[in-house]
Amino acid sequence: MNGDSTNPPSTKGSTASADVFATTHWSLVLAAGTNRAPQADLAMEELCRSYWYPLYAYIRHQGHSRQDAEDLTQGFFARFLARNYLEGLSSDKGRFRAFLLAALKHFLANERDRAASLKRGGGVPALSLDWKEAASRYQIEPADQLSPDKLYDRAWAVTLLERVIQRLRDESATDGKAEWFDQLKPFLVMDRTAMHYGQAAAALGLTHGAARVTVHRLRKRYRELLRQEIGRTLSHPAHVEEEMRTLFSAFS
Amino acid sequence: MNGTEVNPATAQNCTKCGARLPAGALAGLCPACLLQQGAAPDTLTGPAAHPFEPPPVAELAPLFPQLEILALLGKGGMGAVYQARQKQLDRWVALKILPPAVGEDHAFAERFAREARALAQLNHPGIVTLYEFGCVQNRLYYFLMEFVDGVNLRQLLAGGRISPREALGIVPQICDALQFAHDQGVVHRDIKPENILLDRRGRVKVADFGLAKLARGEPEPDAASLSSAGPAALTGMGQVMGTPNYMAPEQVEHPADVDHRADIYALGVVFYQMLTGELPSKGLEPPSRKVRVDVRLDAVVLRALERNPELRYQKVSEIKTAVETLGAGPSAPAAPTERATEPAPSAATEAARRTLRRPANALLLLGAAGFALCWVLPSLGFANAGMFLARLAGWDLPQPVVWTMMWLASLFPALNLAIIVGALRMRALQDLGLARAAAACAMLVPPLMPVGLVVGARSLLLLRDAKIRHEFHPFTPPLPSRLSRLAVACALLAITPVLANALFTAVAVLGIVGFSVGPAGWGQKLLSVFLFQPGGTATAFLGAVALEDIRRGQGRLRGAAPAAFGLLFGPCQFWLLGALCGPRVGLENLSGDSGILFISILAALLPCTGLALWIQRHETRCRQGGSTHPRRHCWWLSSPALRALQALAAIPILSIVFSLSHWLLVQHPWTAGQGRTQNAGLSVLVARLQASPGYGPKTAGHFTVPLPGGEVELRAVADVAAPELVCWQPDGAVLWRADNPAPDRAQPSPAARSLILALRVGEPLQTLRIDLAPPAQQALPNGGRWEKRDLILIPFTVPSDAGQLTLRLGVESGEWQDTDIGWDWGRKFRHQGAQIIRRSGQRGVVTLDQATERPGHAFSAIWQWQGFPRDWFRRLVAVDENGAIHVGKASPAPMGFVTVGELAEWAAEEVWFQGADLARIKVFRLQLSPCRWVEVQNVSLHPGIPTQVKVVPPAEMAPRPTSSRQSSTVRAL
Repeated sequence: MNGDSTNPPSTKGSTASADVFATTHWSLVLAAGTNRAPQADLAMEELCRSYWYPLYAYIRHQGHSRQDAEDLTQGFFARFLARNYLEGLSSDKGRFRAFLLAALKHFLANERDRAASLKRGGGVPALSLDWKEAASRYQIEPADQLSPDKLYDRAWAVTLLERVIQRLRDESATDGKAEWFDQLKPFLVMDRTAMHYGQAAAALGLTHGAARVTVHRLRKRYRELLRQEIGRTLSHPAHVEEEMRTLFSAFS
Repeated sequence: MNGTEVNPATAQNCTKCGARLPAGALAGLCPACLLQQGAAPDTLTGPAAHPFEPPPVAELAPLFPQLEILALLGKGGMGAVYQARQKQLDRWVALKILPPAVGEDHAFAERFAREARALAQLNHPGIVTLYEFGCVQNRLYYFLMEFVDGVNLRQLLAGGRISPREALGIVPQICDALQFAHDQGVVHRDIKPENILLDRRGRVKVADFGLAKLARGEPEPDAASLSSAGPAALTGMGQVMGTPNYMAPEQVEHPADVDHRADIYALGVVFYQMLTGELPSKGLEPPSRKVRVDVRLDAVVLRALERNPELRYQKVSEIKTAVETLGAGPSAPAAPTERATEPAPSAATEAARRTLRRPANALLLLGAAGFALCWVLPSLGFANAGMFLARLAGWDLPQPVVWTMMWLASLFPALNLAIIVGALRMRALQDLGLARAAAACAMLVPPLMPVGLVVGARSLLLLRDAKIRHEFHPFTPPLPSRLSRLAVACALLAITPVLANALFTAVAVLGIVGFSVGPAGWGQKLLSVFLFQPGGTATAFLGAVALEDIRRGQGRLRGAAPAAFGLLFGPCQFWLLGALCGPRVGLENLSGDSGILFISILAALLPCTGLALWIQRHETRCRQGGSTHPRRHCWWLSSPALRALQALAAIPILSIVFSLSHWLLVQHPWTAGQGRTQNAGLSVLVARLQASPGYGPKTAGHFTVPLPGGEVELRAVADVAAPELVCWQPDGAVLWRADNPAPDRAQPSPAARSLILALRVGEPLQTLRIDLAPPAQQALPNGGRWEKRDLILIPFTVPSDAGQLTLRLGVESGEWQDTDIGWDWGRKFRHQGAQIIRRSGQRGVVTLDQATERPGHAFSAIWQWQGFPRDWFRRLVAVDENGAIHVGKASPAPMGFVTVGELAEWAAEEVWFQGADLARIKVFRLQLSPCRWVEVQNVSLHPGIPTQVKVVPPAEMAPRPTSSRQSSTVRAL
């Protein structure tokens, strides 16, 4: 029942407030602080593995060649993951995106000074990243006069959304409804008033009503997943709205 | 991600917002639009969500001045219902308000009025009468309806299956009501168990007639088609519907074309559910194949559940006739609410009960024995089981661990009670969770853990069996209403310490002969049984369980007031005792504190009693008034309020924990020596003092004070708080200066200085007393000082303008005198305890605790004192039956005080006697030895300012030869 609400007495003092919310990846990393807890390392690695493309794009935008950009990205992660990455950086630790960018800038500044060839690895296994795909992606991206930071944010947003859409697709696939997802995907971005289900319903062999319900559920699930994915990179789940706004403003 | 190359030519812009599409990445979706959609709030409701938050009572009250709104009864997709009282007519009503969104439709107002008028015509005993309808503030639509004091069918179904006899008593009444409505042309459209109410007399009332249609508004031509995708909530264009479990197929497909036969279908579903306990699944098994009912009922139910409306009963009255002709039950109500107990127990239930009886009884015994044991332990001299265990095992644990164990062990009474309550529930096949918890506790909680392991494990295994688990059901409210026994027990348990304490104080005040406040006093022992254990966590647990029961009883179980009282008072007492008495929770010290104790308990008692009385008043008021005697739960039984109340109980417990851990840290020997001055400066000082020339056991320094039995050298005075470390001789000559690695940032006050006096003891002396004359004051509590080998450091504070220090050094004279203060061990210290010693106009209180045998032909005793004549030394001797005197040797008290100064205001000591048997000892006695003081004057307090240090010997001072001190103890410094 709920009569037991005591804890055994502990002799530790009060702990950091980050502990309470250590559910998101980034907050886990922050909570581990300067101690290299294994799960914090894993969380960090996972975050890096998900969001490396924006860094690559940023580096390319700086004018580095393809080869150099690959080396730099790899080198950055090697150093980042190998060292105590939370030290010495007082930037916005609440958001992983901003934090990563700051760390990258720091790293690039150091690299410029050294201008020596980079060492890879050093005991830390390199993250296996898809360079070919990255290069092609970067190529086809519109080379407009964006500030590097904005470009980074945009790339970040796109990477994030890709992950969410992919998850959504995977979920539908496990239900056996992969083709439903492909057909109903356009509805994700539509206004409520603009939705016409007739064609989609016919293509899938559903009734009008069933199509509506499925779309509604899909949109809802998309929102949930989006929030989750953004939340992974924040230290406090309450900042999701703000982060979304920041990402959205990267496109305006 | 797929690794394909993408053609740059496919880059394009988003048709909607014009942003560039990152081709190939999101497969044609625009990221900006996606983000925008992602940020949009959920406009559609989920299955469990409510479309709007019902306004709190306080907000509604001004809108309805003619009503006294009491509480929110429930909320659903179609609005919220409140219990209210019409002041003028003095009758209970139900106020239902519709979601504000509903009222935004302009045509709605007209439709609303039309429909409501039609509903108001439905005047039938089986239909909840609509009294009034209206709209306040042009946006909030409301209904005033008859208030039905009872339960709805959903709640009955949740408690277990309804017997066929009862079901057949309910259905005809529903039929009557429905037929009446249909005759008037009103279709319900939302028949479901929640809308079927049964009052205390067993009469059925159908509620929410036609409101479904009203709230839904006109359905759109084609957009309202819904898929039959399970019981999820489906939406129209912003409209809300209930669960489609009870909706007829045609109602799902074409809601606009529904007629009264949809009600028949819904009734069929409800009927089916009443009989079998389940909803009709796709296969539609006849009820008789699932439960034991009349086969002829199958036909009735199945016909009502026909998918094609044409094939169903065409009139509700036909169902009623069919049911009645079956002769299975009269049309008179079968009083289903009289099922205060569960329906006739099935064979499975009986079997489960039998299987669990033995383990439950075993658990019960275990819990009771454990609880009794927890209660008895204090009389054995242990504060609680933790201490008992520590002593039993003979472990020499560090003090903080022992204290932690003690506080942990204070949970044992609560856990034993949990075992008892869980076992009782297990026997009654209620509350699976509590039963499991009881079994788990039995396995974990001393003092009867070994037995408990076996019994608990067996019970847990039994409870995992699916057949037995299935027979459990949640606690059902009893009828007629009664006082919760748990609540009463909780309040009684909470109040016993208060009564005991009152008795205690009264007796102490009156000074009844033979009743001593010492630890051996019989009164103390008796009261200790009641004083501590029942309070605290045990009552919090009982109170929480009782309140939960009362809430689930929904008004049939009374006693929220005593339960709330016990829930809060127990922990509050505990907390106050812990906070005030803290480490001195030993009973021996209550003599001075009994007044404080009593006042503190009163301070906890008053708010708790106040709250309990207020709740009681509320409860009584809820019960009065109106002809229907509504007994719905009042606000304080709602879940949030209850949780808040239970959370309140946790606060005192947590604060005990925190204050204890803080205290532990402070008192631990490791931290106790740090004091307010920094460690760094101190370490420098100590290092220097030890390293400086002349340091050694036999070398005499400048300022040696010869004392009987040895000599003491005044080494130096030092300032380690200032930014610069300075150390000077007692006559003011500076010895050295150094940079202070960690100056004290917080000076005690600008008008005072913290200094340190360093002494070196030339020869092992008997206990040395150091007394600083005012205005100097020792800084460590209880006259503590730091000792390191033969160096003694005494931190003290002086006013800034003080120039010189005077101190006295005292040693034993070596002559020990008997006193009349003794403790009769032969009678196990009965009638003794704290005794007062007076000498030279000074006073102290000495108390002797129990004595214990020790392995290796020894024993020890613990004694304590509060204040002591400063001019006397003390020791404890034991006299055995032959008259031989054994002198005890004191060691630092196991209470965590280390290096307590001789002139401490309060201290405890454990005195060891080697080479003697406790069994042969008759009495313990206090012996005193006068203290020889040597005064040292004019010690310089400012470096560089010379003074004339003067040593004033005592009048009869003469160094005594060591031989005469054979019988004295030597206390290692």
